[in-house]
Amino acid sequence: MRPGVALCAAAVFFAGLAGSARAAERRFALVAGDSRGGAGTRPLRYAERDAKRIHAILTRLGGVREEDARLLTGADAGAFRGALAELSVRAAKARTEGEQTLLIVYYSGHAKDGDLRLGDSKLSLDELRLALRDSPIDVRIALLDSCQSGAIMRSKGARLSPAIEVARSSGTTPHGLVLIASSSADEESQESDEINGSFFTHYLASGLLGDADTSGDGKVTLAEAYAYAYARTVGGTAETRAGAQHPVYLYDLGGAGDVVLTELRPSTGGLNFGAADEGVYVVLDPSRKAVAEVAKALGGSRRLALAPGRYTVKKRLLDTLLVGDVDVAGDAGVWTEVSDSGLTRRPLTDDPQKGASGPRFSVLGSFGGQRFFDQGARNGLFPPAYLGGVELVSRDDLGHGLTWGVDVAVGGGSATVRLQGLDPIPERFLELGGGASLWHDVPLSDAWTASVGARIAFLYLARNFPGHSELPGQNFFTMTPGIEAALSWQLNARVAGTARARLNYLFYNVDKNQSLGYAELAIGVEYAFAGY
Amino acid sequence: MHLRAISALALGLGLGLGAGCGGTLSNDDIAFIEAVPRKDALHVNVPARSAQALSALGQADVFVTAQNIAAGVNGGLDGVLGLLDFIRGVSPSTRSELARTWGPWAQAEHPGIEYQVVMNRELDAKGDLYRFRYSLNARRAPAGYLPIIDGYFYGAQAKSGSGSLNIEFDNSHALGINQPNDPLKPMDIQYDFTGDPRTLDLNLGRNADGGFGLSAFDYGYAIYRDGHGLFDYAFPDGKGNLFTVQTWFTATAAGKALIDVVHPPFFEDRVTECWDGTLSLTFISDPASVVSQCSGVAAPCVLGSAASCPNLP
Repeated sequence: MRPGVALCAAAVFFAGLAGSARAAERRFALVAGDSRGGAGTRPLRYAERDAKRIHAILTRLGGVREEDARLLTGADAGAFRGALAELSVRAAKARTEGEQTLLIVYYSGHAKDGDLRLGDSKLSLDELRLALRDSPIDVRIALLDSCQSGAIMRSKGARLSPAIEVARSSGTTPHGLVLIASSSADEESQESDEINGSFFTHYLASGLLGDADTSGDGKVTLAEAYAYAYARTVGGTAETRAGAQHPVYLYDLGGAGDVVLTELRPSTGGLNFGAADEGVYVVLDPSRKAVAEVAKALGGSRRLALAPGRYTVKKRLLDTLLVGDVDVAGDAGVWTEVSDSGLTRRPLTDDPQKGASGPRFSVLGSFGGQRFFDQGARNGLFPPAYLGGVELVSRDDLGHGLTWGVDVAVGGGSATVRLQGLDPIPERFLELGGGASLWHDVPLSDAWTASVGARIAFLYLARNFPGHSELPGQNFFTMTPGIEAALSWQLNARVAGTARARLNYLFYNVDKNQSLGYAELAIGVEYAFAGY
Repeated sequence: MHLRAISALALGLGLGLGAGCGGTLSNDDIAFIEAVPRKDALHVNVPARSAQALSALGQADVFVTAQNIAAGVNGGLDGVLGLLDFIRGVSPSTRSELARTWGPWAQAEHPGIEYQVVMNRELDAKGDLYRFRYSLNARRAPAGYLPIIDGYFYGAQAKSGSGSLNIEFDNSHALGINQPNDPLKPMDIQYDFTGDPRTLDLNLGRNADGGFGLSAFDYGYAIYRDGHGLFDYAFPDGKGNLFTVQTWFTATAAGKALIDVVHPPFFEDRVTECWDGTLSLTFISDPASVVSQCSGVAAPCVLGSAASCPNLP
């Protein structure tokens, strides 16, 4: 047998062994995120986004089948308990069928006074810890990203340490419980607007995507992920007003020791940061939200396994930025090279993460109604009208969170003029409006955004009187300032649904000088050209 | 950045408000316009014959005359009342809470003449609408305006209210904008469209020759909802007699006329005629035998049957 053929045969043999070993393992995941914490808490901004990130990573790279993963956002404690029980039953069944089982429980949200806060409901940390401790599943891993979540470590063996000391006992499969909390029992877990997430989850996700693969074997183990997340979280929060945040863990895992959490398999693709460069690279999605970070040393390459799509890579130098857009293809095993030489030098003010890299345009189509508050004005002059409109929106053109838009709307309808002593006079009217708006977007959660702002607009109205040739057509033009508020729901990367209310002032001066007010309500769909 | 954006918005707001507002959107304009009667609302409408046929007594010439006189009145008034229609095509040039002005404007057929219409809304002591007053004025600049039409209207809608117009034909003659047959002196028009019948009085009595080619007379017209009506008019014959006629008619043009014949200087006679929808005479009662059908018939002349007369007052 030729050496090449022998090598291939060996590879197939060991791949078969690995495959059979993987087939014997079944992984489950319960991932929950809740921005609400009930009375006495302020809504978190990124808890639900954090949960979605971890869910996506575990199902894409963590060996968890879609049907074995549960993603809960905005759910209460009952739903959490129900999902945990249901997965435990499924895992127990798999275990009786001879499969090695593993359960990962991730939670991002509020915790206070020893309880996880899921909206107005509570789940005590003790209850969760005992449930996991007594679970029949071979390996149970809890990842808690919430304030004072270290309180779950009220048992012997909890450690505040940069790295997990893995107990190795070769020959047996791992079994036991690992609890990892984002902060100690007396610390706050912090979020960051810059990274659009919590520090701990952001670095945990970055590590799971590949940056924690210090061994370079294409696998990110629990120990590697923890060590990475610990170091980056402590470093990232050291300069914050709340002070450094220290993750803690409880490790009670017997058997083969470490557990592989994610694999950068050949079937995946992503970005490859070459050996010639060093530094911290931030990878942003099309909405300029951080997906992962790579803290790279000189001399070794580092891979990030990312879903197909377009990303922006940013590297901050002392007095400048390196920025570039990269595409991750959906092809298996294709790793897009990222190097400093391929990035463009930009001033610090053009930081894409702060939304200053230029406007992001979208178009909003809307339909709604208009109604004047004054009953006399509604009598033929400004009757209730339906309006359809389109608005060009530019975000991050004027500053972070500040958005401007220009819009035009057309509408009209039929009405009746009722004047004392006269027969009712039918009228048909046409309305044309448009304006320029400036507003501030306030993210309420990963999906919901509230907006408040001001608008200066024009309004042109024309009417005629069918069947009354003696009455000439009439028209009116005016400028109309106002305020507006909107609530948007991000449906996917490019499309959002919007409900908007406007309050406007109008000065009417034909029959008499009169200050009038009117409201406009509309719903619409916004399409982003660059994706969100 | 925020300061720049807010400054831009404030600038836009200032420019926008500076651009102002305006237009013609006005419910009050509608109220003013609807108070002015259309020229066709002041027409005398007598029905046309429903079929062509003639009886032995001949045609009801008195009703044919009524139709001709009505056409003469309507045509004469249209010339001057048509000037008022200008305001129906354009918006007022000035507005105040109680007044509107249209014009000045020029008419191609009257070079050098400027017209204007001024309307006022007069309120009673309680502040409620009392009446509209309007005037059509004309001038040869730089002279001052002379009234051509003065009108009052009581109510809200000309087609269902009452009012009066004074047409100052002496002024239209002075300005040279009169029609050839226009009266020389003012003419009064009273109308009341509030009930049944709708009435219209056209006073040409102040004019020696009437005007519009008609006799000096106070013409009266009433029309009921069901189409029957009354027309009072006068006309001379070639023999120096003046016929004053009170004509009742149905919606189908059948009618009955009471004709007072004045033989200057003192003698009067009353003739009664009836006709059917074809304008064929069915009855004549002429005590003095003055109508042509009674020529050669010994007085008193009675032709046809009184029972054939339509059921009219």
